[in-house]
Amino acid sequence: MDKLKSTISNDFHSSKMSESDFKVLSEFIYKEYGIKMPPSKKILLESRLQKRLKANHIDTFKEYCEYVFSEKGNETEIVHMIDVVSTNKTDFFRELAHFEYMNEVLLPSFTSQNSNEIKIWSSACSSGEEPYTIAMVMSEYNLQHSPINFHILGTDISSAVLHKAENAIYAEDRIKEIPHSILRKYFLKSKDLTKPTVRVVSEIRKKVAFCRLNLMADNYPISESFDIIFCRNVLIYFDRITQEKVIGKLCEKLKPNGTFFLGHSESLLGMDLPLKNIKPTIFKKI
Amino acid sequence: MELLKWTDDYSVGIVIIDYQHKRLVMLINKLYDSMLEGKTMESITEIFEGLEDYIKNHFETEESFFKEFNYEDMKTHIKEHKVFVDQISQLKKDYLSGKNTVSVELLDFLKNWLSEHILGSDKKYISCFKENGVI
Ligand SMILES: C[S@@+](CC[C@H](N)C(=O)[O-])C[C@H]1O[C@@H](n2cnc3c(N)ncnc32)[C@H](O)[C@@H]1O
Ligand SMILES: [Fe+2]
Ligand SMILES: [Fe+2]
Repeated sequence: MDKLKSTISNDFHSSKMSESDFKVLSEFIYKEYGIKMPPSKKILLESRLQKRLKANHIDTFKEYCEYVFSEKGNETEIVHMIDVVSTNKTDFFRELAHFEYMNEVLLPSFTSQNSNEIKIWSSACSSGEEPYTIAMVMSEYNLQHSPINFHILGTDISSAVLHKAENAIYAEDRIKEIPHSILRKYFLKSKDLTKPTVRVVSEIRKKVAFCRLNLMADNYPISESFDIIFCRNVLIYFDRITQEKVIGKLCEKLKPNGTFFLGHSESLLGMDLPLKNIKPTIFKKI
Repeated sequence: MELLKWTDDYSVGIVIIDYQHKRLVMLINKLYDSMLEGKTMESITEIFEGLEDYIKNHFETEESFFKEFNYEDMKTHIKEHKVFVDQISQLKKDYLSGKNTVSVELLDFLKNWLSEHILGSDKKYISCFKENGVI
C-alpha cells in the first residue's frame, strides 16, 4: 500500500511535456548540437529532463523551456541539458578535417624535421573513438612514409567511458561511416552473429594508453609534453572562465609549436592564451 | 563592431526563434568583423559558409513549424526563404570565383534582408505559433 502511494505521488511529481514543448526542445537540440530527437524520443527526453527540472526547482516543462532560452539559462543550463541527452557522444573520424590536416600538413612537416617520435593527447576521449582514430591515421601515414614512432594518451573524467575505451568493442552501427579500407585493416568482427559488434585490432589498441583525468583539476599529473593535443567537444561543459583556465593548463603540456585541436562549434575568441589560430579550430602554440 | 544590433524590437516572443535570430545577427556581425579585419579568404569563406548553414537551419525550423500548424501564409513565406537562400548561394559562388568580394554592400544586403524579414514576415506567424502552444 505504501509502495503504491509512493508511486502515485512520484507520478504526480514528474511533470509532463507538451507536444509543442517537445518540438521546441528537440528542434533546438538537433539544430544546435546535432543530436537527433524524433517524436519517438519524447518519453525519453521527458524522463531524462525530470532531474534538470528538479535541480532548478522548476515544476513544468513550459517554465523549463523559458528558462533554457533565457540569458541565464543560456549560460548555465544548456550544457546540462545537452549532457543528459547526449552523454559522451563521439564518433570515429569525427570532424574529418582535423585528421586530414594531420595527414597532409602536420605529419609531413614532422618527417622533414627528422623527429622520430610524436606524442598525442586526446584530452576528453570519451569511449575511445577519438584516440583510436588518431592511431589509425598514424598507422596509415606510416605505411606510406618513413615511419614516425607515436604514443597516444586518452583521458576522460568518466571511468565508465574509459572502461569502454579500453575494451574497444563497439556496436556495428557505430562504424557505418568508416571507409572500407580502414574497416578491413583495423576492426575485427565478432563471431557472435546475434550481437553485431566490432573490436579495434590489438595493433591499434596497444598504441593508446588510457587514464582518468579531470580537466578541471588544479594540476594535471602528467609529466610529459605533447606535440598534439585534442580538446574537442568538452568545453561546452565549462563556463568561460574555466574554459580559459583549462586550455591554459593544456597549453603548458603542449610543446612549443605544438598543435591544438578544438571542437567544431567551440571558440577561443577573446581568451588570453599562447595559441595562434592557423585554421578554424586549429591552433599552434607560440 | 556591430553592424546589426539586436534589440527587443526584433523579438517575436517565441524562445527558439528569438534564439536563432540572435545567432544570425551574431554571425552577420562576425562576417562583418572578418571583412574589416582583412582576414584570409579561407577564414572568411568558413564564416560565410557557417552563416549560410545557419540560415538554412533556421528556415528549416520555421518551416517545420509552419507545416505542423498548417500556417496559412506558409507558401509565401517559404518562397521568401527560398529566394534568399538562392541569392546567398549565388553570392557565395561569386565570392569563391573571385567575381565579387565580401563587401560593405554585401553585408548591408544581408543585414537589411534579415531585419526586414523578421520585422515583416516573421512577425506575422506569431499568433499562429502561440495558438498552437509554442512558447
Ligand atoms: C562529447 S564527448 C567528446 C568526445 C571526443 N573528444 C569527441 O569530440 O568526439 C565529451 C567528453 O568529455 C568528458 N568530460 C566532461 N567533463 C570533463 C572533465 N571535467 N574532465 C575530463 N573530461 C570531461 C565527458 O565524460 C565526455 O566523455
Ligand atoms: Fe526568421
Ligand atoms: Fe522567416
